[in-house]
Amino acid sequence: MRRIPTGLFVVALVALMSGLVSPVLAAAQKYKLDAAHTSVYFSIKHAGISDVYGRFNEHQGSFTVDKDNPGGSSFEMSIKAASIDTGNAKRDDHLRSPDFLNVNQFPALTFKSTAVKAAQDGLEVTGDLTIHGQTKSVTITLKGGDTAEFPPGSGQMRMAYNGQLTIKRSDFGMTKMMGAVGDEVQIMLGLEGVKQ
Amino acid sequence: MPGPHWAILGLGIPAVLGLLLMLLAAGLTRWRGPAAAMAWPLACAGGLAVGAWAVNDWPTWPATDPDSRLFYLVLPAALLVELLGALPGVPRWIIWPLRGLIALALGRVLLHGSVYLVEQPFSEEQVWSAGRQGAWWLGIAAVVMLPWLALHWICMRAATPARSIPLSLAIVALGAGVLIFTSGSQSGGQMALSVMAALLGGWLGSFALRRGGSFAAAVGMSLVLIAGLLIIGRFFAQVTTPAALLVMLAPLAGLLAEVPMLHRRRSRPWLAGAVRIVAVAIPVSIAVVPNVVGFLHDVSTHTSDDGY
Repeated sequence: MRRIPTGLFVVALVALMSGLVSPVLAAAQKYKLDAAHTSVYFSIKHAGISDVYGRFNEHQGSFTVDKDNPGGSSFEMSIKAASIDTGNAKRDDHLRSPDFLNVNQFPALTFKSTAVKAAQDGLEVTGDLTIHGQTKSVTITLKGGDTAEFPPGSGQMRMAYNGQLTIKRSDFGMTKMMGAVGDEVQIMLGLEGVKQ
Repeated sequence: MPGPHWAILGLGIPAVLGLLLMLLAAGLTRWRGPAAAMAWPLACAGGLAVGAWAVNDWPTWPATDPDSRLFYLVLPAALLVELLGALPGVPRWIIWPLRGLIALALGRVLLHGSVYLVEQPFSEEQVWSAGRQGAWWLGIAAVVMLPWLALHWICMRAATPARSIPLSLAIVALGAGVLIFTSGSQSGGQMALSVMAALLGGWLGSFALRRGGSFAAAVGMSLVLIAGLLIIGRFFAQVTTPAALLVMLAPLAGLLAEVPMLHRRRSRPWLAGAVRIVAVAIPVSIAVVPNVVGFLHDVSTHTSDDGY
């Protein structure tokens, strides 16, 4: 029997192993949130009858998605509390005050996932949401996970998710003006990440 | 805008509390003096507590926000010192340094963990240097202690009608309340108005006391609480430094009533009292009126009266 040279054997082994391992490594992909294409909107009842909409204009974060092993995925996001924008400067000042977000005490709203699992059309993400200095565990279903190259031909791959979440502001210690401003806050997220 | 429900809870209950505490003190024949001196700080502290409850701002523990630190740290410390000061035989040299210490710690306690003292993500504020912090704490202490010492001195002058002192303080609390309310923190303003109501209730009840109502005891607690609310309004809402200073230092204008010409007219003590109240009201008005005008303008441009 013809003997295989040792050097060739090692090269072949390395090539074989890298071939086996690389799909696993490639499956967990990290994306940095693109602030221009990521949106954080919310709505809250006024006087119990109408929905008033607002958004946070400044945020940052990242997510890692492992399509083969959703449990290995993670999401992280920080939002600048002072960037709240409801289209009314005076109201925004009030929302930044100790009556609501108290941005000079708690300048950031944060979310950090603690568990991710597969869900229909996306992921079910559980994590710690910190608002007004108080942390609660919440679960949000993120739909999507589609990818696209944008700008076309740039090689810049993007992945996006959308989700909605309802919280009670009183759970986060914001209990003032309950009559005029509702307790339940609907949060709408549109996340677009750029592959790193 | 606060409605009748808040007026009953946030103004009515503190006023009745102040009145009842003073009437209770009047009923304690033997301990009337110390009891009246204790009634004032208790009324102010109770007024703030009821005021917080009325605006659904019950403090949380751990005290991560300034309102909670005002309740759990500043209020008990100031109350303890003022109750101690009301006891007969407790030397003044113990009480005044403790009062100074509270005034010195006030800013540091309320700003604890905020963007002014701790580097935090998204903060637009540069963290204060040790020197800048020291300057602020000393400045705040001076702004609290100056009117405190001035009003105490007026009260200690036997010939001076001191019944106008709680009314002067009520005007300061009213000014602080309106200023904070119209500067982006409605609940903070409402709490200051609850302190005002407690002072007015105590003032009314003080008529039941034959020999005055230990008016000096009304000064400390009310000034510390008003200063605390103004500091929160200044650093966490949109209260401006000049407006806050004008309101806090307004009691110094009450010294005008001590000019010899007025002071000698003992046959008409109400005159000095009236001059004191008007003198205090002037700087308070200068601080508050522009804010109120701006607030009313903003409200008129919205479709609803609360801006929402």
